[in-house]
Amino acid sequence: MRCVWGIVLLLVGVVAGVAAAGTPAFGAATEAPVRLTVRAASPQAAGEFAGILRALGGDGLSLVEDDADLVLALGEQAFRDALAADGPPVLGLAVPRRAADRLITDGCRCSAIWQGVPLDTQLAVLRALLPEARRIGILRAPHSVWRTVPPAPPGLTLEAVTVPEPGRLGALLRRHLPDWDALLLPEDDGLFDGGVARLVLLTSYRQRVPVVGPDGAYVRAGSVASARVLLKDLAAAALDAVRAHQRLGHWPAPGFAGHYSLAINEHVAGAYDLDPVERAPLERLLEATP
Amino acid sequence: MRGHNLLLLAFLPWLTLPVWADAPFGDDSEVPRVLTPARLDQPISEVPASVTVIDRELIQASGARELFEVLRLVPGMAVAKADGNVPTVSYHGTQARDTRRMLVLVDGRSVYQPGFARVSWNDLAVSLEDVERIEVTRGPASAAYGANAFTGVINIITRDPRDSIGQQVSVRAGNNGIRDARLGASHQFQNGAFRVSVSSQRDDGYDAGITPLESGDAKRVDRLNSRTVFELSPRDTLTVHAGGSRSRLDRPPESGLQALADYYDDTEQVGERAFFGLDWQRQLSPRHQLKVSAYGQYTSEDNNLDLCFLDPLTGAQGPGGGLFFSQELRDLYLANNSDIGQTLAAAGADPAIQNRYATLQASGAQAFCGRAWLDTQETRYDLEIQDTLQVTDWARLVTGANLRHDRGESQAFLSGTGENVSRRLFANLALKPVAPVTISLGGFWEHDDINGEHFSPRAGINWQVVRGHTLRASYARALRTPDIYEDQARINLPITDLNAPFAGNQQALLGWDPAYFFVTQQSPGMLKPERIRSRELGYYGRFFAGALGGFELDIRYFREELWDLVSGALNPFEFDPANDGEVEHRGTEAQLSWRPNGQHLLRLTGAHVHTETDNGTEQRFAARDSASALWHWRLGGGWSWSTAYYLARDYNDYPFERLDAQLGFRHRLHQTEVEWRFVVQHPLNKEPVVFVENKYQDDQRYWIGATVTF
Repeated sequence: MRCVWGIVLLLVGVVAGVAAAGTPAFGAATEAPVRLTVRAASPQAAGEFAGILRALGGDGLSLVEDDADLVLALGEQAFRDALAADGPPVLGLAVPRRAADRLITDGCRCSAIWQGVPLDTQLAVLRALLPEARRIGILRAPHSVWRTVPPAPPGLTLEAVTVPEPGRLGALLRRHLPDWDALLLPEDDGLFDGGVARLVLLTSYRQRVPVVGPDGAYVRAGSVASARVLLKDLAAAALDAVRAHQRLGHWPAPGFAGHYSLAINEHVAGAYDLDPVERAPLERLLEATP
Repeated sequence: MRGHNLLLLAFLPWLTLPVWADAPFGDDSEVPRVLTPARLDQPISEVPASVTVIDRELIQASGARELFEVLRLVPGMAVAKADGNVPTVSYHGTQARDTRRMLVLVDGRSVYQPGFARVSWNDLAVSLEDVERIEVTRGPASAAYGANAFTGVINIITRDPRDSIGQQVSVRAGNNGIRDARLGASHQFQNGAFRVSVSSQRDDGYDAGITPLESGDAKRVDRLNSRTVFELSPRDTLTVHAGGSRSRLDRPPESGLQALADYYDDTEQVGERAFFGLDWQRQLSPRHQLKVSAYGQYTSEDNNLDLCFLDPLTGAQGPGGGLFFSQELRDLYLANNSDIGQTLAAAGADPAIQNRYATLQASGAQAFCGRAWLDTQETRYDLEIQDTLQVTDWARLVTGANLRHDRGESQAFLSGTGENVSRRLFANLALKPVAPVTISLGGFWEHDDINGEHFSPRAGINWQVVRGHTLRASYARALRTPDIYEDQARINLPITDLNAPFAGNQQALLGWDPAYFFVTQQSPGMLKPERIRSRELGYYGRFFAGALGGFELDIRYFREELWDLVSGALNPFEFDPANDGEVEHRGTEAQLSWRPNGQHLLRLTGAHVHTETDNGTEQRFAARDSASALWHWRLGGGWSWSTAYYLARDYNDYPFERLDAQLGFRHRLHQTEVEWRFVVQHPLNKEPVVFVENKYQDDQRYWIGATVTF
């Protein structure tokens, strides 16, 4: 009798295994592929993003120009345009959080993946890269979405300083940098555009305070490192949301991408004696960061 | 074969995905490259030498009042006011009053004075509050900095005006006559910034009233320091440095003169310094940077010797004291091979001396009094071009050329003027053939008018065994070139301001005009450069140990051989210009910084050095064991506490041991920030410092200071 039960269980296991192995990359094999339309600022950008979606989503999705089930809108303007068109449910991608909050209304059948990287994720990168940094400064704009600073992990001091206007940035850097071991820059269009990069990065470097964040462009300019969202990360986040929509019948709540990549400026990291930076543990850390 | 192709095709989308997927989204904004490879400094773990960095946090935590004091935080550094109010700072110290075997730079400008081979710490035209950080290269570094980077290099970097905060007023007062004040101002403008500070420091020095410092050894130093930066374009930066200092130091009597004369007025050393420098940096490309530096500096020091000379027959003041400035005694001195004792012994029997003595006695004067000056003036003009090129990702090359003109002038020591022109070429190459290994090769070629041609090489390898842990081995040779005084000394001490009837009547009464002190010295001009060879094995670690916090540890084992040293005295009474000194240092040094969290910093240093020498004077400042410990605690709410312990066992048979404590409080008051500091320095023994005369009247020194920033 035990032997019979054993065979039954084995068969069940085999069937389940076959079923699982037969699950396609996106959606059930028997279901019709979900039809997606990509809207972006330019046809080239839309085409590039569609290519990545196709590579990641496989046969479970179909990218169409018209008659789509769902619309993926890349960027704030495309999101606005898609919402104005009053078509299928829309997911905005890389939409600034403040704009998303304004555009997403109760009955809009829409949601968004915010632009940028959560402060927690950047802080995790900073801690992994600069574990000896104990006093970490954060600069933010007055109406920053980062009004709430994450609680400081044990042994760390997080000091958030609000910059009332870009013209005050230099004075605040001079005032606070001597008290910090590292500077964390959250993504903030109103504050950290290309115009202030020279001021922030040179002032910090002169005072030997490493900068982490806010994005890949800053890393190329001289920030030590940053978590960032590449197109592949955005595509993976979009597919997660499409799956959720299929499962739930509506979009998940707006949030960050949840998929991040790492940018490191090896020369700057070397100057701070962080060379050679081991990327693999940092990338694993980003995978584990929501 | 087909199977392999299929496999490749199956993975093709994934292989090609990164090409698209690496395209960033949202971070492709126009942000110019700011920190380029050429602009970046070499990290400590890749430097072929032990380096100690003293930053502003350490400077403030130390509670130090004078710049030289913070160098006690450097392992192996001998630091003391060895000569009354004149500090001596020497890495792996040898002679107690010796500051000639170490190079000191302020913003890249050498403050090593070439005419008389010394660094005058009192007169540095920079106050401690102007300093951003101090980088100390422990070990010979002539391959990077040229001659005189002998046992090490201290590089003092002042605060960039772009990082200076508003205006500051500071005052400080304490026992032993401590009265300090400083005004600092800064301003950021469209494409640059400037800062300027004026400061005054004064104290009573060591104890007054203890022989031989009856007159005390007080000092007053006034300083001006300024730095202006113009960002001419995104690629061009022009920095202007300017400043100066003026010092007044009470000086003890010259021991060689005390048996011959009485002082009728105290000796005061009056020093004046001025400098002006320009640095232009151009970023030719992200991998290529050019820097052109030019500076000029002027130094002047005068010591008055106000003396009434004793009659050699009676031992009391009288006109016979004029004999010491007579032509006849000079002749006799030269005839006795410059032996002072023999000259004085033979003087009584010399007919010419007897005649001169009779003339002096007949002059009707009550005494022979006058003023002599120990005077020095030095100027330096320096032009340097330096090119930094990141040749490849694994090779970085720094090359340059330098032209320097030094001039020394002194009636007392040179009987005129001496000059030296040097031309220098240098190159330092850092290679990273594989990621964890850095190979450093460097050399400095120079030719100067006094010493001819010489070359200083250095080679080192740094191997990062695992992340955060680097082993280091290096070999370096360096030299200290004889200065203008050592090469061209011609000591002749004239006397002025004579009393009647000697004033204006020197030819008749003393036999010559101008009249000089009978003792004279002349350098043979044959001295060779002093040389050092250093071998070092080191470890540098920078790591984080979980809940224990972050650590930075440097350990160095070294062996240094110094030879051809000019060990003998070179003053008017003792003049022994010979390259006959040899010293060997062997030992171990360590420095540890531990940050358990954001509130605490603990820093420990220690050095154990065996010094062997054929000349006892070369061991006076060589402490076998030295250590420092510093603990800084940010209490919160603006309060901070730090305490430091310093040990040197021994300087010239006297141990130095001191405990410092500092309480600080920072708070805002309307639109200003006010910072209070109370500091106590408590010697842990009653021993004098280096020499027996260096004793404090009070065991403790303490002061309170306030700084207002607005």
